Amino acid sequence: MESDINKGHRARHSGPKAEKKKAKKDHKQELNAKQRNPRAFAIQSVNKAAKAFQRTADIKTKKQHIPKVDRTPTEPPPIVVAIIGPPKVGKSTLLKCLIKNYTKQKLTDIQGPVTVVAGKNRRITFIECNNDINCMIDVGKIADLALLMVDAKQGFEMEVFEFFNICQATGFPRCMGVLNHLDLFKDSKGMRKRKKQLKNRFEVELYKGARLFYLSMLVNGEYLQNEVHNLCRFISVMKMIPLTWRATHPYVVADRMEDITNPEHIRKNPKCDRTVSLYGFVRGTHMKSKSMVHIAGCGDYYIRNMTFLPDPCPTPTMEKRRSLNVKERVVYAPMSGVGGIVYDKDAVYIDVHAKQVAEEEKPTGLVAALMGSVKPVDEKVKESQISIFKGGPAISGEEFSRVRHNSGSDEESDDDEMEDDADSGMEAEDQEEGDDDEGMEEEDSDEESESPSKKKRRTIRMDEETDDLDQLEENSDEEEGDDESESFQWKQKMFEKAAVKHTKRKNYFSLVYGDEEANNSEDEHTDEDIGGLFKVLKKKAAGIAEEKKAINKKDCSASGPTVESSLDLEELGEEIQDAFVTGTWDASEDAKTRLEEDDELYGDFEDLETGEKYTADPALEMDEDENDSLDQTNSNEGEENGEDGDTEPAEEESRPKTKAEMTAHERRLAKKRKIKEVFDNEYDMKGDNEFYESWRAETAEQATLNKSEFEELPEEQRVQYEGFRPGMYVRIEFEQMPCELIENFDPTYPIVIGAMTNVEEKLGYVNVRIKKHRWYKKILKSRNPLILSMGWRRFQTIPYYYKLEDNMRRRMLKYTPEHIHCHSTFWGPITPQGTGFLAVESVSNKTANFRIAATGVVLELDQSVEVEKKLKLVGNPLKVYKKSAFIKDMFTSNLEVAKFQGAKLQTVSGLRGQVKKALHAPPGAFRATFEDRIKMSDIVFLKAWVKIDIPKFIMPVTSLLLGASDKQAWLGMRTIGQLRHERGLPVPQREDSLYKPIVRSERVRKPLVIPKDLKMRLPFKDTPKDLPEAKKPKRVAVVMEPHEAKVANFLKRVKAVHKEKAVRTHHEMRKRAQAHQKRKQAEEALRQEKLKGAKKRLHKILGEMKKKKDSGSGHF
Amino acid sequence: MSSLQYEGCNNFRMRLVLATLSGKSVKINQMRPEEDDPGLKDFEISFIRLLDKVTNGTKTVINETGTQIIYRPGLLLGGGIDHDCHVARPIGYYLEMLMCLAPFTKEPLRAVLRGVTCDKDDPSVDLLKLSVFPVLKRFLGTDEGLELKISKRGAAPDGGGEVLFCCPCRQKLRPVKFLQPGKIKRIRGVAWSVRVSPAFVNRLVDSTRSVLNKFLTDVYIYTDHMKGNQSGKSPGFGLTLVAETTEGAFLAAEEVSNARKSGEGPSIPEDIGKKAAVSLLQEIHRGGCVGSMAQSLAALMMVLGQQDVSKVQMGELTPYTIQFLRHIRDFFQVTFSIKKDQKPVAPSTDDEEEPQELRVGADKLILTCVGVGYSNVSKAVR
Repeated sequence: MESDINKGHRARHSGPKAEKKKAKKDHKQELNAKQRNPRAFAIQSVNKAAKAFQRTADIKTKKQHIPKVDRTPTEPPPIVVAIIGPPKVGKSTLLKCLIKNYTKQKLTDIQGPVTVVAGKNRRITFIECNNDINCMIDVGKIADLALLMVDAKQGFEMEVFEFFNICQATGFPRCMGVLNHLDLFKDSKGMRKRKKQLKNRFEVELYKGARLFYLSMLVNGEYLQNEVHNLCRFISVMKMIPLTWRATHPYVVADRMEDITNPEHIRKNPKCDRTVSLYGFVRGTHMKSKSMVHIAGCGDYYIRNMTFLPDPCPTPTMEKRRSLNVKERVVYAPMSGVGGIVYDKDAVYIDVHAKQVAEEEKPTGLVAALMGSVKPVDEKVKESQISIFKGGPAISGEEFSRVRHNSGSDEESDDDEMEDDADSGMEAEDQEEGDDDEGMEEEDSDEESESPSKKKRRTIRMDEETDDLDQLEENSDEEEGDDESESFQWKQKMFEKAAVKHTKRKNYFSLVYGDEEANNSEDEHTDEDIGGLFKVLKKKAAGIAEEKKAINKKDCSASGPTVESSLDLEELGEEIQDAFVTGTWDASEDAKTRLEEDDELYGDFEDLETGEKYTADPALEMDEDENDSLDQTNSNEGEENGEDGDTEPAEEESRPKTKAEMTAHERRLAKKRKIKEVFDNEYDMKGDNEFYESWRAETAEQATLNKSEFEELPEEQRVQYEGFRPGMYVRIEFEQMPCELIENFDPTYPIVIGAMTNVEEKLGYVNVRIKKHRWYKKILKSRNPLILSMGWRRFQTIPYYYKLEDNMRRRMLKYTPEHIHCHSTFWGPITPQGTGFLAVESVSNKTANFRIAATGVVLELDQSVEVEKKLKLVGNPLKVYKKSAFIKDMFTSNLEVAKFQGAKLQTVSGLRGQVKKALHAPPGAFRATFEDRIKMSDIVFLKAWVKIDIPKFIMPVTSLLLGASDKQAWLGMRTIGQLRHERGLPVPQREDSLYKPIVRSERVRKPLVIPKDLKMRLPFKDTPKDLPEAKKPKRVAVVMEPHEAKVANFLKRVKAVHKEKAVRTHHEMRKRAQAHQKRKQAEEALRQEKLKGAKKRLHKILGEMKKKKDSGSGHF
Repeated sequence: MSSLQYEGCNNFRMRLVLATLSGKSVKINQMRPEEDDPGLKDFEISFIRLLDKVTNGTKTVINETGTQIIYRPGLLLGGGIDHDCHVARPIGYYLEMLMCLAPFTKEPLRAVLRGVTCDKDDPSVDLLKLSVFPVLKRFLGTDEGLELKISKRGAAPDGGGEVLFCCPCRQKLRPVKFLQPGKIKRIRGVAWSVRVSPAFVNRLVDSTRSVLNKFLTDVYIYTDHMKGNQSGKSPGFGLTLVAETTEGAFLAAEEVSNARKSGEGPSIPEDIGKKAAVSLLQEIHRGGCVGSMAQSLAALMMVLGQQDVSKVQMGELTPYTIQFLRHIRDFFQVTFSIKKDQKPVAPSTDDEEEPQELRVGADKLILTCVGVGYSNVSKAVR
């Protein structure tokens, strides 16, 4: 048995099996026709091939999207999840459940946005949206993800559809449906049917495969945990779509608001303007401080002050754990007073854990000082400040540490120092900003009165404030130098030389931006007593005089005398020697070094034409030869050894398996192939999407540059360059806010602070393409006020609708067309082209109908607009001459006529004419000429186009400022129709606009009269043939004598009798004739019969005779 | 609408131009209040008129003495424009600013400007064409439709020149990264003369070649002697030189003869040629990827780009550019990061331990900024 196991398989060497195997080994793969004869299958139809090629290219191109620079920050702001739905659908309950799922805490009364940490790198801000259309519009603009709550029993209600259409206009966020109240269905079959039905509708509304969640039941006032958890998981992994408007406009969803007005002012006047600070995460893109923002529902305001605060809801920095621990599950919702409420003067905090009492706040005043945040000792030391003189600047601990560091580095080389100095100006700035952040009112970085330690540092780089070098600095500075007198030339030379040296140590940033700030701070300190530094004032006086001169200097871009001008030609030439191609090249571009690199890469090559070999290195070539010989020996060995490759040297392992056969020649070929590949990649084989790929690479490169450029800088500096980047928690201070904002504050209404770019602050005429919504019941009328939501703003304006005709004329339309787009123009904020907007007629009325009146997109912006409407002026002839006529009733004054001189006229019958000149007599009458004589009964038209003035009316919808009772009842301008309706006024109708029955009298033609002369001259055939008709012979009445009458009467009677008699005899004759004929016929019939019998007898006899004859002859 | 307040007539143009681009209104007080002829000068009025032609809805209020101006900008219109520039300043004074506005107009700009084509202090049209156009091209993407045609030359003081400036308009500008100026490979130039002997241009060329040939052999200077009605009203001659680098950076300099009645006496062509060459060398010494004349435009276009980081290397900033950067901060709230660029080093030879810096002139600066995400609101989309 064991030997059997160990025995290996012995292949057959002979016999049928062995032959079969042999045959199999020898067999070559059967080629199909295409492989055998590839030429026959080459392109046969060029068109077909082109089509196929185009198709593949189309498919490929369809997959490509325009590459966009990815501007998402490394730490993105919390995503905004909005819960939307009709009232009583369970929005608040869902919000509670979601928050509970994330934070493991139960919040009871939630108001305003709630921010929670959802995961390692995801934070979520939840917002509940109420049923107000203002609210829905605002939420649609800020939501990254919308949870649409739907009552399964009710189905989709109008709010959901409205929200879809709002989103369509402003940019679609991600949407998920949540189906609620499923437990109201008694039977599961009905429920399933309903689910399916609603899901189908949802997919129709959104897209195929839109996600719909089901909340099956309520347990203890909460939804099932696993269902909520499931929903949370979907929220957590959801990817957001970048939307154009939001990617270009920064915005803040305020989650906290503080009224920081002086309480004394409020006490004096409760309606005084307030100073308000709002807090929130910056979203969208970089936000600039000192820009104008629009607070939706409130108005446009300037940011007075903007600072960033530590993140109240930081994402945990953790390495490998998957889930968050309890401490990291932070919830931040200052607007809702929940849990352990902490009421401060400034804020309301949710006390999550006793330890986490609002580290994030930055209160002002005494309370803040008392509440001072807990910080480690070293930080405290850094922040602590000592001032040596009263009123003098304070030295912070941080500065001390820096000074120490500097003095240490003094001993180092000059280069180090230079670099240090290059940064120092910026550092000083940081400090200023940092101080501002701390809420310190006094500027303590005044450089004149600097503390000794700081001054020492400055003198090293000969700063402009150092007194003895003051003059020098001014000379080297850019604004002066040309008004120096001749006598100081030697001095100037010296200064210039010093300046040359000085330029090496310039801090360019402060050169550009720093000076001004120094001046400003100087101004601020004028009244301060600064320890007897009288020089300051002196310098300042000089400075002011000079400044005065400088402001009215010649405005030209040419550079004044510079450092270079001091050098003579030789020096100059020497210094720029390497700027020319003939000079030395730098290391990265030097041809020689690059050649060397290339050689290392590609090695040697052979000139195929000459057969000459070029080697990178003779030693290398030697190696190669050795390798060749080695290869050969190896291959020999290989043949001997079979196919095992254990003995091969390591460097040859990378080669393909057939290396055994590879000779030097082949290797060379391989090398050439490789070089060719590199070449191809570089030049022609990049493929068809080369352009696309390079574009994508470009955007990716830009994205990395955007992220990395200012990454290392400290936050303060970064903010200065970039603005407040998205994801930062900021505090924005506004002045002169209406008191209603505070008094009527309702946390359920989101406060959206949307920033705008520079030009968007302006107002102008906005040309848009607009379409009335199909579901909206009415059509829209020009000049009726309409509420638009465009950009961040909601405002009421007066649009005019128009149609762009083929000759580019903008013809006014009185009403929007039913199912097609039209254009519209209104006075409104300048908004970038391509921005979508939506329109509603009213935000106050509560109807069951669809409220969105129209949607559209901005096309063009301008400061003037030409919408025209048709005008038809009507006149009547006053007097008609041959081809000219006097026309009245068209104009009212001669001035008007003068304006229309030369205008085209037309009569009803189509005769064309022209306005010539005004007449004296009836005002407004004029002379006109026509192509033919017109009739007095003609009506004359003048067709003209008149430009319409579009009213400059704009009114922001201030829904945030309304009181609780009329929050949803914002009333702007009303239409005339509404006003008439309210006041019960009839619609005025013009008499001549009414339709009346048209009465047309029958036309009576007059006979044609040809003058006698003419008739005489006419040829006979054309003369009217109106001769009297030929007369008929007239019968004369016969009056007879009595006798004659008697005779006539007698004759008449006789005639009658005769006539009678003739008739009778005729009848009798007819009778007789008939009888006779009858008799004759009978006789004839009888005769015929007799004849027939006779013939019969005769024939019989004849026959017999013949027979006799025949038989008699027969006898014979 | 927000407004900014300034004092004095210095930086007048940039204030109005930045106001137009940013949509902010601007109020300038104290315009030459203490001079004999106070208030706005004729050329400034001419500039305001030009702005009025380019824009729609601009409102300018000037007080009686002309010492105060309130400028409320409209939207940029572009299209065909015809403007007689006041001869006190050459066309360059106007054209420089028109170049800043041109990419953001409603329709491609096609401006015919008449006046003095070349004078001292302000850049000549040749200089703008040679040094500023390449920079503009980088931001626009192509130079299709970008054109500056000098149909007539007019020297100071009477002018009579005419140029046609065409520029395409864009919805958005692209961010630019231009950090390697490369090496100067060729020097080109235009020597022009009007109403003087045609030999002057040759003398200019000879003298400037005598200086420049020491540095580079690839020097070619075109001569442009204009005659008849193309030669304007006053005699004059001048030379504009431009050095082109391997990476497409252009550094230009120029020199012009003294104007006829300026009281400075006649200029000698040889001197002008030499001076031009030296000032070109000085410009090369200053160096950078954009010439000193184009610095401000480059900075502006960087700011008016998308919300991306743009980086451009420049030579020492001119005072004008410094003022421009300050104004940009006022109008657009954009601060530039200005850093000194590291000088290129020579390839290290084995015996030296420390790589040697190349002699490429003065310090180079890298200007970095994040664009404001500016988009051209004037241009219509259909």
